[in-house]
Amino acid sequence: MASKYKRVRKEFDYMHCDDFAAYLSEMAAKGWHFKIWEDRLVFEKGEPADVTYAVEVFDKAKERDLEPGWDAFEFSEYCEAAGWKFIDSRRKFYVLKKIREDAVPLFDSEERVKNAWKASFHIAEIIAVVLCIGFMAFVVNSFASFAGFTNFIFAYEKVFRGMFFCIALFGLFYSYGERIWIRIRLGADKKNGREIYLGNHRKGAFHIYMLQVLLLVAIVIFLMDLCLLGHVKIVAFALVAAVAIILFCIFLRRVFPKRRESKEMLIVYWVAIFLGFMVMGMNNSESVDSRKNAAQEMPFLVTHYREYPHASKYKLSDISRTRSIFGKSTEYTAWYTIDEKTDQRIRYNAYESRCDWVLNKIWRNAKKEAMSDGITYCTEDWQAEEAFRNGGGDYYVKYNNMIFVLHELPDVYLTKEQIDIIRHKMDFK
Amino acid sequence: MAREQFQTLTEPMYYILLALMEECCGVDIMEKVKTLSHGRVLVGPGTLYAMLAKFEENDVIELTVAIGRRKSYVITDIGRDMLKKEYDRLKVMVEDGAGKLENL
Repeated sequence: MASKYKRVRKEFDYMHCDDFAAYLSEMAAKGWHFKIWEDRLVFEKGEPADVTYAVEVFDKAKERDLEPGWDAFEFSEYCEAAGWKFIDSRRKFYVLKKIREDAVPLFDSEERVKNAWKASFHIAEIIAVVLCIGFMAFVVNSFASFAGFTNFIFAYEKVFRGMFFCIALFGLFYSYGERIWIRIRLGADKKNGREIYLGNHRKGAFHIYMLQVLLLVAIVIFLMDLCLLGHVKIVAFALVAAVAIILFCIFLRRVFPKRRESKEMLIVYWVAIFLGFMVMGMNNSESVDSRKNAAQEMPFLVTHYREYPHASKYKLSDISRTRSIFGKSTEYTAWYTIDEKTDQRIRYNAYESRCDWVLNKIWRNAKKEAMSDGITYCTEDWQAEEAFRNGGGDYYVKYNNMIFVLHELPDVYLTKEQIDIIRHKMDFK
Repeated sequence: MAREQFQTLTEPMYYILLALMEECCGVDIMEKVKTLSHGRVLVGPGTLYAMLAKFEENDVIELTVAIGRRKSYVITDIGRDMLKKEYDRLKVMVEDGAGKLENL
């Protein structure tokens, strides 16, 4: 037996009041009459009917109102006298049904637009936009430097944090952009004597669904990529984190029912998702514990290509790897003793990626920064696509899918034979 | 000061205050405005409700009776003064235009 009631989840922004009303009328024409607004719109089955609804923004209502307050009931008396029956309200939305043909419009058009526009923007959203822009500016700025870009692009948690903020910013800009566009259009309609229509003739907040889809796609790509690279433990950890986010959001909705759908709660959800991404990205880098004999796991040491009688005493060493969907970065470091009093360090990095634009960006940044100290090309010695030495003694070498950086001393100039040894040890082709 | 927003009254404001020259229930004001303006001015319930709240907040009108949700209001001396000023302003405008616009 078919149910007498239908519960529908629909999201509308305050600037889409008339879209909302049109949707309710459409449902009534199919025999589903809007009855009450719980966490979803509840419709009662009846006869199909031509019903005119009005959805207005009531300025006195609050974002966290989940049911009509005293003001709503008082207001409903006025509405009934004007030919409108008050049905229900939630947040600042008031839903009414026309009960007389000569019903007077609830607000004049200017007031409707003003109320909707004012309700449409919330300080929490504005703060979110500022934070997103701030973070993206930080990311863009870090892209401009060699260290900043390499630290970002090969770290899972940073890439997905960036992706998260991109998606959030896109959603916020789309949402704001659409509202501003509607406002501009309403101004033009008023000027040309056209009827004011609050909305875009759409059946719901398209941008919210789009955002949710984008987020889901991002999460799936993230987890699939981790699986392909064999990080089963991290995938399990990420799934646990995702479940924790969902449970946390459900918990918030239970504990703070009055703020359930408010814009503040929306921001809290997004912060929870962001923290989830942060947690998912933990345990990303793999480091070998610093041990005296860890140096033996490095592809080459300074003693392989230079003579240091005491350099066999490696005091401390570290191999640090980070990876993301764009490739991986490995840093090799070893401290060794030159004489009784002096310690030095050998450090080299390998950046591997199948994305040409990533390697090209790293290379451009490296060259730009090296230009100030002067560069000396040594492409032939390294048998690479391109290679140079900067004034500080660092060698930058570009191969097909990799960039190798060797941090040498300023007074050290590698010979062809030394370079050949390193090439052989690193298995450069 | 909030009363600055009432320096010049809009048509709905003018007629609402005119309707409240006598004590009147809030719900009945819409009909009274329609009658006073011979059907020309229609005040919606949303506009009326918001305006009554603003008028009351600025002592332009005062609540006289409140029985349940039904409230009655009447204009105050401040409101009467405001209304009179608006009436005089409109009269001056009509007189200024009389010689030039009557034969259009």
